[in-house]
Amino acid sequence: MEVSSDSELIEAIRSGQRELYAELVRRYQSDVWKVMAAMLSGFHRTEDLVQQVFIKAFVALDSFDTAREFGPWIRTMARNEVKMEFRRIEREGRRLDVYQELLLVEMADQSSDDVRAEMEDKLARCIEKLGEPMADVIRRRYVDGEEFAQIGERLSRSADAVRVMLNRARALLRECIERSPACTERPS
Amino acid sequence: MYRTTELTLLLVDGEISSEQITELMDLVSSPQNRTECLALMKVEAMLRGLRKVDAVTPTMNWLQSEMERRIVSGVMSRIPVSVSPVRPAVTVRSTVARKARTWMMAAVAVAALGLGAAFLFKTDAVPIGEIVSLKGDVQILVEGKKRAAKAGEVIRTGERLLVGFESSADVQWTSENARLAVAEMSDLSWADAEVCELKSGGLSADVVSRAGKPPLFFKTADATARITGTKFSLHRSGNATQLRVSEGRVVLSDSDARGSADVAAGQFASASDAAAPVSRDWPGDGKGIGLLGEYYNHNYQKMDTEPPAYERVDSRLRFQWGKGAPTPVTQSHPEHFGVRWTGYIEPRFTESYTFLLVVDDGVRMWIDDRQILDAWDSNNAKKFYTQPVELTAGRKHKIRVEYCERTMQANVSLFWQSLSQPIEVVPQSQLYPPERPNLPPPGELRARSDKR
Repeated sequence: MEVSSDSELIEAIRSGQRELYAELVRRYQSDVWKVMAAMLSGFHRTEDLVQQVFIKAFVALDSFDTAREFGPWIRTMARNEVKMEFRRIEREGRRLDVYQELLLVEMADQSSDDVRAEMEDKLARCIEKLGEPMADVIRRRYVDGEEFAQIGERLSRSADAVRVMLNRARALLRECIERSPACTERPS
Repeated sequence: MYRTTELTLLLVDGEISSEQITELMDLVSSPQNRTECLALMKVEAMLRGLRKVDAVTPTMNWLQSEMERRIVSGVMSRIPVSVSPVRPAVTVRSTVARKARTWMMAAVAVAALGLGAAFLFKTDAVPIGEIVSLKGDVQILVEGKKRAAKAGEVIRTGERLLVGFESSADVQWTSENARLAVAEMSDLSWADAEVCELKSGGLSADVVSRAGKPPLFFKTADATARITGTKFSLHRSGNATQLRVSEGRVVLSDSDARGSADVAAGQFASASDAAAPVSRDWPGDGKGIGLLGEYYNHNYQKMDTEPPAYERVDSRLRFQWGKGAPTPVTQSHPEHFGVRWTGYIEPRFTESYTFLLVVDDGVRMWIDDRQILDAWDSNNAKKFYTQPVELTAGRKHKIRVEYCERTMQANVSLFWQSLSQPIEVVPQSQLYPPERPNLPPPGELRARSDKR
């Protein structure tokens, strides 16, 4: 398949090749997911919202300036969707400060791509360092989205034991990420 | 495991109890624990990003079905006009939502305490405009600190503008070429350069046509107003948001995506938890001239038994006497005076109304002979909301407000608000004096002849 740039793709979608939008979604769904999942708990709700962002983006695609990058544009949309979700949550519960909401959104996405990539790399290495079965618990829980009971069954442990292990693993990850050096290569 | 760690993990899992939240809040007041808590949250955020998601299939399915629907209904445009109410393949998972909420609430509180954690938060404040002029008590709240605002001062995103009682501010939203007159008792901020958020209070705006530019948004907790170039006023009070348009058009959409109203010049719309916005014509004003005020010089205790010293038809209840008195008196420190206002009030809407009295010192109030406020024993500056009362549009309801000054400052203001009525000082046009011969001409303070 021919690899086209984002802007070529968008021009083609605008000119009526609607099915090409699938490719654009494929390219950016992980980015959008990361922005939203970081701030929202509840896998299914978050998934619904990711989809909502792509639908809104499709609707607004005509107004997108192809001289600019699509990534920041769609991530901003995702952030706004999270903000709206906060507001919906807020309406159900007590009132929150707009400014605090903003902080939370910043927390999810303000760091630059470089910093994010570096952190992701650190995380991957730290998960490896945990060793089995802890690394397995983390992967089952976060990558595959399994329930505690399900994980327990596979590991022949109780759901509570899995929970305790997950807590231990997360505390270790936090320490490991803190300590692991930045991934810069220097000549020795 | 450390207690902070333990509690934070419960928090991110949405399984923390409210007592434990309180405990965690205490713990994170120490910087060390706060760092720990935030670092764990960040790890959690990153872990959640590991999940692979498939948005391609549902999104494309939705687009397909939307296209088919449009072809069937004869609308051939590629772009659907509005999207938010149509949600593809969504089932409500309320327990998940509730868990999410618990986590969010607590995380927000921790985040608010954790401003020092620069690795997590980097807020680049963007200048959005400046305060052109101001009157009275206008403050800027930024990062939990308040400071008095000055004319000519630049306002940035993330800052909140707080306009106090009997105060106002004129703001030029420079980047967007809009002018905002911010009313008293308002609280507004800019989350983004294009979105002005009104938490409470009101503003009148003059937005230059935005042809070729994206629309501006004004948000409240209830609704969002989408502006393309127009003059309008927006208020939020009680649990409702009101929009009145004087020029152009504004689309007001409900925060819960239940609906939206297209509001044209001369129309208004309101939104609340209870109702989605609907645009209606703004009802005309009444022909009132004000209420009759009966003034007691320094003996408010005798308001029930003796005739007043003076009387006057007051256009509205908005008085700041400070340390002075409303009537000619001889003492250097006039005190213990009282006023009784009577007559009729004519609402514009058939709705439940709440009155707000900002007074120093005591006040009590009746509508149709039913007492809806008793704060007679109050002894300093306070705001009082009355019980809600059902009023009928165009009908003249009996009103009585009694006020007393004990010592020091003296003031009294009467506001009203309802779902459709933005909070405002009850205007002269809706107030009528009692039907009685020999009323003094409006505004003239006249000594009562039956007074000793």
